[in-house]
Amino acid sequence: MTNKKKNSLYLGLLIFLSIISGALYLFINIRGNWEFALYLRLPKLMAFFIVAICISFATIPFQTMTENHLLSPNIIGIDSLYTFFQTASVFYFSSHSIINTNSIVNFIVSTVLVLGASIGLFYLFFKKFPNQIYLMLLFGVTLGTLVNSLNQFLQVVIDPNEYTVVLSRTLTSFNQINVHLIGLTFFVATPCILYLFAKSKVLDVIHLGRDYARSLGIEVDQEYLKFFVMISILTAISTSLVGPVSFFRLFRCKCLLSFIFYL
Amino acid sequence: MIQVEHVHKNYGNTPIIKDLSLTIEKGKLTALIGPNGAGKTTFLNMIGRLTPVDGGKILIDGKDLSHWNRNDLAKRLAILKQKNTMTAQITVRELLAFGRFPHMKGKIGPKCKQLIKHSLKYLGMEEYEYTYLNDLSGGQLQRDFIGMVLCQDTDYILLDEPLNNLDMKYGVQIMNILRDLVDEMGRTVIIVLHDINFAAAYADRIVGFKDGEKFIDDVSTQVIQKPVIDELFDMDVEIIKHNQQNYCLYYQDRKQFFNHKVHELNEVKKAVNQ
Repeated sequence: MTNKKKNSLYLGLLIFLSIISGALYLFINIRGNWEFALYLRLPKLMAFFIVAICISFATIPFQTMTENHLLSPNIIGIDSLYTFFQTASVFYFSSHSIINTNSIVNFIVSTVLVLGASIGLFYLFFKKFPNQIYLMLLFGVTLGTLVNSLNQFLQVVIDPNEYTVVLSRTLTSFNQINVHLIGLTFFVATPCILYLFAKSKVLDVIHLGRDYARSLGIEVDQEYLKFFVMISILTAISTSLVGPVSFFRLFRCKCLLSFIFYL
Repeated sequence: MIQVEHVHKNYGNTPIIKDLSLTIEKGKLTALIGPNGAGKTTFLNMIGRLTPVDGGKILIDGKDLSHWNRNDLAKRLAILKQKNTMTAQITVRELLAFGRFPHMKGKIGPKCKQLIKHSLKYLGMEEYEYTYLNDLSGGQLQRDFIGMVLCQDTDYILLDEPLNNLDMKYGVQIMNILRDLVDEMGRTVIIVLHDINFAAAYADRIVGFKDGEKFIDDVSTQVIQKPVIDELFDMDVEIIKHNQQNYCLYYQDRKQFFNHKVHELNEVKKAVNQ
């Protein structure tokens, strides 16, 4: 079997498996009212779905641009920034302010802030200090540590009741997801995803390296900027929807645990 | 025709190319030779617009390089780089298809398929058409990249040490393919070579680079002469004539090699003893 056919087979198998998993998640072990169970489960499944797509569509261009297949955009420290924004907003604006009570306002504000910060960080690591992967990693790790310390400090200072608001936002959770947020996320993510699909051929060529891409007629710097913006938007909205999603660790763990539990 | 006018380039504070002016004629195979660090790769990268020019200008077919739209330039000029490695999982056929990107933007038409088939045959890679690149040897990978540049089907073909990693047979084959492109299809080829005998055998004109400057720019028979090569490479070579072409024998034993340098060695010894 040629490589192409093998790949198509694997892809088909994976799609089939994900549909089966989704169906199982929705319909297995429903004791009682179907409508009620689906009402609870469907938003979660849709959140899984969107977050998975957003993260994959953000990671592939990122890996192409950094020429490294192990990294994900979170490495720059976007998750830490999100956590910091949440903590700081509760600290400065109190948990009663509209930013923290209205999910949609919180979503929009944190998305915009994370977007601005990540575009700044991308500019720093792709324009000012290009090809310095280790610098980027170091920065991300250091930023993460810094934010953790700040959070701990603020945790001590903030009223514990207020702090639970922070916790609820910054721990990754697929429970209690606002349906309106899912709609908003779809609305913002779809044009980005369609754009990346349309640019997939360009991304293929960039895989050959910056110089060959230039030789084949691609204005590499401009394309990089466009991809940054897309990656930033997709990462920002998926983080704002469910919280920090570093390497999808928590999701996979939850998935595995749920599966084992139900067996 | 490519005209280079008073071009200079620095990396930081180090000048790599100093006030270089050159004309590369259309429809000829021009070889660039010279010692390491002379600026040949930088020169080629500047023409291919992979690195910016610090001063002076380069004209391709009469139009200033910086005024060319990158996609139009890609249809006119193709460049092969010195180091070719591959991290992506793509097949040989897909790599060759990349060469068609400036023309077809990702779609494959009948002309593309024909060109790909031709390239595969020329390079002896037919049986590897659907093999992944990381399953190939260095020489095979090199031939694939050359194939990609050929598929780009451009008037100007710039190659930076394309014969690296290639055995004698494929070295000769590539040079013959390039000669065919020049003689039968009227293309212009600029090639950086380390083995000056390949340049002697196949190039119409040879340009010698030394210390970022043009050392010599002449027909190959005039360049492969003892005084020229001796000074260009700082060695003591022997020139032989064969089939109306000059070739260079530079394989020397230690005594021959160091005799030339005995004067310098004595200087060093004196300085160390002081």
